[in-house]
Parts: sequence; structure tokens; C-alpha cells
Amino acid sequence: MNPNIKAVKQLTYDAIVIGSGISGGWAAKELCEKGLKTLVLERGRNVEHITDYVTTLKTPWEFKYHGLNTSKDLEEDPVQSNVYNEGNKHFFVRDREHPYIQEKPFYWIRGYHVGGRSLTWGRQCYRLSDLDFEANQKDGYGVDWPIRYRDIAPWYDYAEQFAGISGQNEGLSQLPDGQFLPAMEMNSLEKHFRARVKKYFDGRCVTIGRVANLTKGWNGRTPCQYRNLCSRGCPYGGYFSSNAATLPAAMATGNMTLRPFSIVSEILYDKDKKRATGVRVIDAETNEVTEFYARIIFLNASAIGSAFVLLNSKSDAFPEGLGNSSSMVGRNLMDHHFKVGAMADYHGMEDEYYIGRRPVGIYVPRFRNLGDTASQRDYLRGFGFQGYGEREGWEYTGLTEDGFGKAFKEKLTRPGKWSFWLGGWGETLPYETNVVTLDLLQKDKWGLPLAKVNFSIRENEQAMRKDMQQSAMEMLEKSGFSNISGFDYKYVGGECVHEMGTARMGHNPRTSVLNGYNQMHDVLNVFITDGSCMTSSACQNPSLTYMALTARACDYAVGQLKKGEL
Amino acid sequence: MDASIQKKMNRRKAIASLLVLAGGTAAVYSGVRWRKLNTAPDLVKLQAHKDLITELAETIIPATDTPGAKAAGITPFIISLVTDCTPRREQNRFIEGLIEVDGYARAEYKRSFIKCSTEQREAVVAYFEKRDRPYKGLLGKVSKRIMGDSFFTIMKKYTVIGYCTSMKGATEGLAYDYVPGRYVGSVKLQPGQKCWATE
Repeated sequence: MNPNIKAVKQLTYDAIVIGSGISGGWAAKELCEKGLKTLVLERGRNVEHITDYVTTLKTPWEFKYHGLNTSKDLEEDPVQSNVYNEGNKHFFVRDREHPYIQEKPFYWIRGYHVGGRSLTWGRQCYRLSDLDFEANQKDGYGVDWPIRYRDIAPWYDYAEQFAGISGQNEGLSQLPDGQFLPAMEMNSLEKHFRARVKKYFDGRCVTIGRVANLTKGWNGRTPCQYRNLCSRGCPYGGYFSSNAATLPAAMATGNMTLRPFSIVSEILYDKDKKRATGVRVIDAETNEVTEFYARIIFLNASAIGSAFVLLNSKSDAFPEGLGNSSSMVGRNLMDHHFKVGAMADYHGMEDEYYIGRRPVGIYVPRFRNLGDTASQRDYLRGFGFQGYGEREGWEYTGLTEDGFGKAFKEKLTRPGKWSFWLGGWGETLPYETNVVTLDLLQKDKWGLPLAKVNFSIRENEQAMRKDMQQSAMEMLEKSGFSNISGFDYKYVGGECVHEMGTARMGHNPRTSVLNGYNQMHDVLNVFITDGSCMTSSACQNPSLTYMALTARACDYAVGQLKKGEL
Repeated sequence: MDASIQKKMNRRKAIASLLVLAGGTAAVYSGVRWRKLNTAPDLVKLQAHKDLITELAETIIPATDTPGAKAAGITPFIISLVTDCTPRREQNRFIEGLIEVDGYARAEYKRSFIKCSTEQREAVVAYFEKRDRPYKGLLGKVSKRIMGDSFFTIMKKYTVIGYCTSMKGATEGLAYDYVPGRYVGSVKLQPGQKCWATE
């Protein structure tokens, strides 16, 4: 046998998945379970479930800084340190090792390791509805989604049933019900708020957050223990992550090869066959370059990461980047704008408390611009609120009460007053000029160009923010709260860590990158099912939609493969 | 990002962000004092003052039926925070403040702070607590931005954080539940109920 042919054969798989975060993990599981020999490429280190959650069992006093960041952290990681702390810093990149260019302030918060951001995500899971899937078509921003709710609904069922999402069905058309594990309980003040909002606000609902934390044993994983330390990794498997759920399922098939430290610099393309043939990989540790080949490729490197790979995959056929005949790759970058809402105190319920640290708060589904006149406002789309009630702890009382000594200590160590926090998460419209490009002059340590991000929110989002603050204050007022204060902290793009839209789905190959099955219009054996694919952002936390779209795309891709279409 | 992280960030912004907001504002305020506060602090002095720090912390959070700051052993933690987690201006204000405390004790009582009686220590701390209370409103914001937190604000904040996140403070001064294992949304407050140590 010709040694070169042998080498190629060894490096050939049925499928390649680029990325091991939430959507990459799902692609790995689905493709492996359907019998495909699948290579999963992750640019960072391996993180073994449980074994590599090195801080997960630590008490606050076992950390040198008891969990706080140092001045050096702030200086060295000006972006990531906004989110990390001493307990989970190792699941975020070092900013200096992974530079990018902010043409306007934009926080690109990332973790380069097996599992990606599925280890540190917020875990809230909400379905999109036809209010979202029809939005672009109705108001003309962006392009029409090529799917409707009925196309994705069974895949939401499927994703929820595997991942394990706790929550409560509320029968709302704008936030469809799902296949939920038993809901977590609200505390006394949250129950009060729910009842008041129901009484005074027609059509508004306060529900418990729908969250990928288990309220009972599920698929071999242990229920949430209410430690609220999720972002350190959970030794119980109490929340959904690639590491705890999808990758073990993929591994169990015997079909998965997981390759850490594998930076994909480009996807290889054969212009005669009009298909992608494989990927070029730089070993993150040795810089060795290897090519791997497969019949289908799933690109799940995150909205900015996947845009980067496409833009960097230049060929005669695609001088502007793979599958970019529409020039839409990298464009329409979206995030959810937030950090706006209201806080208040509540007098009463002084003999009430709670036990346990629930890893989710309450959710107020969208109530603006639902299609009727009453909910219509002078801006487009809408927002939802997250929030929670609590009795303030020493973190507040210790730093706001004057004095010192015994009297101060007494206040410090008792449950403080009840307070409530309500913050909006708003839809951002797709703007073609919110864009990821490559800077060809500046290179990282692997010689790859730097991603360059230019993102801002505009008039529509600003108008929405005013309403977010006002309506939060109004709901707290009517619910009997006092000392109500609205807030609007300066939102920086990317801070919500919901990057979306850089390879959008659409009907028309001239204006979109992917079709209704997340398949590239231009390159039929490449599928993209991370946040890149989102045609609009809606206002719901998006990860559940990536899970459902990934499972759906895998089903389609394997069907096409079997029919000989790919 | 989820609400709990964001709320913590808000809270940090409102209260404890004082910790690590380095540099930033240009010197509208110019002058000798500002410049002095921005020179490299002599952090070795912190070790020399560790007994003073211990007794100040104990005066802020004294032993009662539960351990105080001294028994919780938080002085090394306070020194770590000042050394590694504090902007330069506040490091300088903190070291200056320690020296002022001793100066004040000597002037009033003819002895160093650690040699003072409990009553004398309380009188000294009362003076600095009042002197260093942040200005209210806009003036407070401007002052904090340019000069950083005052000495006593830093001392009290680090004592609170240190105590409440120490083993003795969390498990005896407060209620620490290592692995709750359940969530119960509504329970009646127990007699002598302590506040949860972690959220």
C-alpha cells in the first residue's frame, strides 16, 4: 500500500465536529449515535467530567483571596475578569494569549477547553416561538427565518428530554411550554410578586426560571444539590454541560475521537466536487499542522469563532471565505442587551427565610409587541425580565450599615431586609454593519489573523431600554415594594455572552449563509449549528435553540448522507 | 449571563468594586496629595502593623457569643487583599491610615493602639469611622473616583469580607451550609437565626 494513502485513511472520519461546547457536544452525540465515526476537535485542553473540576469542593476560605480577583487579574485579563472569579478563572481564556480587536468596546468572553462555555453558562433554557420566527419577515429587519415553530418544536422536546430542564408550563404563546422536570420553588417574596403581577398586569406572568439544573435524577446524573457553584463544574452532574452529558453519550458509542489542542485554521474545499473535504489543524502546543478529512463537517466554534474559520478558509472558489458568496459571513452579529431594570426593598415577611442556594431566579416572559394593540410600543421586538427576591446578606449589610462593634456584628450576622432585583434581557436587531472581520496584519502566536469586532446597539435598543427600566419600576411599585430604584448600567457589547448571527439561516443564498437545515447554501456538506446560525436574536437565552437545531441538522445530514446526496 | 452573576456584578459595582478598580480617572483634581497617593506604596509596612490590623479588625467585629475577627485569624487575608487586590491610591491611604490611628491613640492616650483598653480602642475607632464616612451623593462619588476609598472604609470592608468568608466567621458567626442538598423557598425564621454565609 502506498504510505501516503494509508496516512490519509488514518486521518479520515465520517464526520468532523469543530468545537466541543454546547452545540458541538450535541453534534458529537447525535452523529456518533447515528453510527458515524466522528472526530471532535477542541482548540483547548481536555476537561474530564468531575476529575478536572479542581475548585468545585472548595470552601471560600480555601482560596487565597476567598474568591476575589486581584489587581493583576484585572490588568492581565481586562475582558474575562469581568466575569470570572478565583473559583472559575481556569475555565476562561487568558486575554493576552488570545487577542482580538475591539473596534468598539466588545467583550468576547470565552473558555478554550473541552466543554467550552457549557461549563460556565447561565443554564436558562427558553423556547423561541413564532412571534420570534416571524419577526424579521413582519418588520423587515434582517431576512426571514427559513423555519417556523412547528419545524423545531419536536426537537425542543428531544433536547429538553435529554438535557433535563426544570421549569413550569404557563401556556403562553410567546414562550411555548416544554418537557420539563419539576420546577424549583419560588421563595415567599417571589410568590408574592407572582400573585401581584398576575392581579395588576393583564397578560404578564412571573414564572420560575427554566433551567438546565436537575430536580431529580436524570439519565444517570444526580440532582442539583443547591450549592450554586455551577461555573466551577458540578461533581454531581447536576446541570447540563457537554462534559457531563453529551460527550459521555458520544463516547459510549465507541464512535468518537476527541482531540484537544486542535486549532482549526481553515476548512478545506474541493472546487470540482463542490464539497468541503476536511480541515487543517494547528496543534496548539507543538504548532504541528495536520489535515483531517471527512464527508460532513459540523462547525460549532461559536458565533465569532465559526465566522473566523469561514473567513480564514479562502480559496479560488471562495476568495472571501468559505461559503461566503452572500458576503453575510461575519455580519449581523447580535447579543442580548441587558444591565437595565430596577431594584427595590420589601417591608414585611420578616419571619420568612429559605434553605438552599437555588441556581436560578424568576423569569417574566416578554409582554411587549405581542401583536395586539395593548402591548404595542414605539420600538420593535421585546424583552424578558430575569430577577429574584432575597433577604440581603452580609454582602450588603456589612458594607452599608454604619458603625462597628457588637451592635454592628449583630446586624451583620442576621438575615437582612427583603429585596428584589429585576433586570431586562432585550432583543437586538440584526444589523449588517455589526460585523466580525479578520485583521490580516496582526497575528496571534499561531500565525493566525486576529478577529476584529465592530458592534453597537442602536436607537431601537435604546428606546427599548427606557421601557425596560420603566416597566420594571412600575411592576415593583404595583407589587407593594419600597425604595425602588431604576438602573441602566452601561452595557458593553458581548457582555451577555450571547453572540449570534454571523452565518445566518435564510431562504435565499444571496442574502444568507445557511438554509433551513443549517446547511451551507454554497457547500452542502458543511453545517453550522452554533449561535452563528441565528437569523434574529429574539430575547430568550439562546442555547436551548442551538441544541434543538443541532439535533435537527444532524438528523437531516445523516439522512442526506445515507441517500447519497452529500 | 445569568441574573445571579449580574446581580453580584451590580453589587460589586455598588459596594465592593472598590476592591479592584485600578487606575482610570485622570487628574482633574491634581495636586500634591493625589500625586503622593499614586506613588508606589511601602507594602512592607503592612507586616510591621499586623498587630494593629488585628486589633482594629477585632474592634470592628469583636468576639461575642461567637468568635470575632481575631479568633477568625483574618489578618493575613486583609494584608493579602491590600497587597494584591487594592488600587495603589487605596494602598497608600490604608497605610497612611494605620499610622494615623497609632498617632491619634498616642496623642489621646499616650500609648499605641494595641496597648489601649477596649474602651479607648472603641473611642479611637469611633473617631476614624466618623472621619472617614463616605460623603453622600455626588461629592462622595467624585471623591471616591479620584482619591479612592478612605482608610476606614477599606479597613471595615476587608474585615467584613475576611470574617464572613473565614472558616470561623462563616460556620460560627454565620450559617454555612456546605452542600444544602435541597431548596425550600419558604421557612420560618428560627430563634437566633443567622444569615447564610454564601448565596
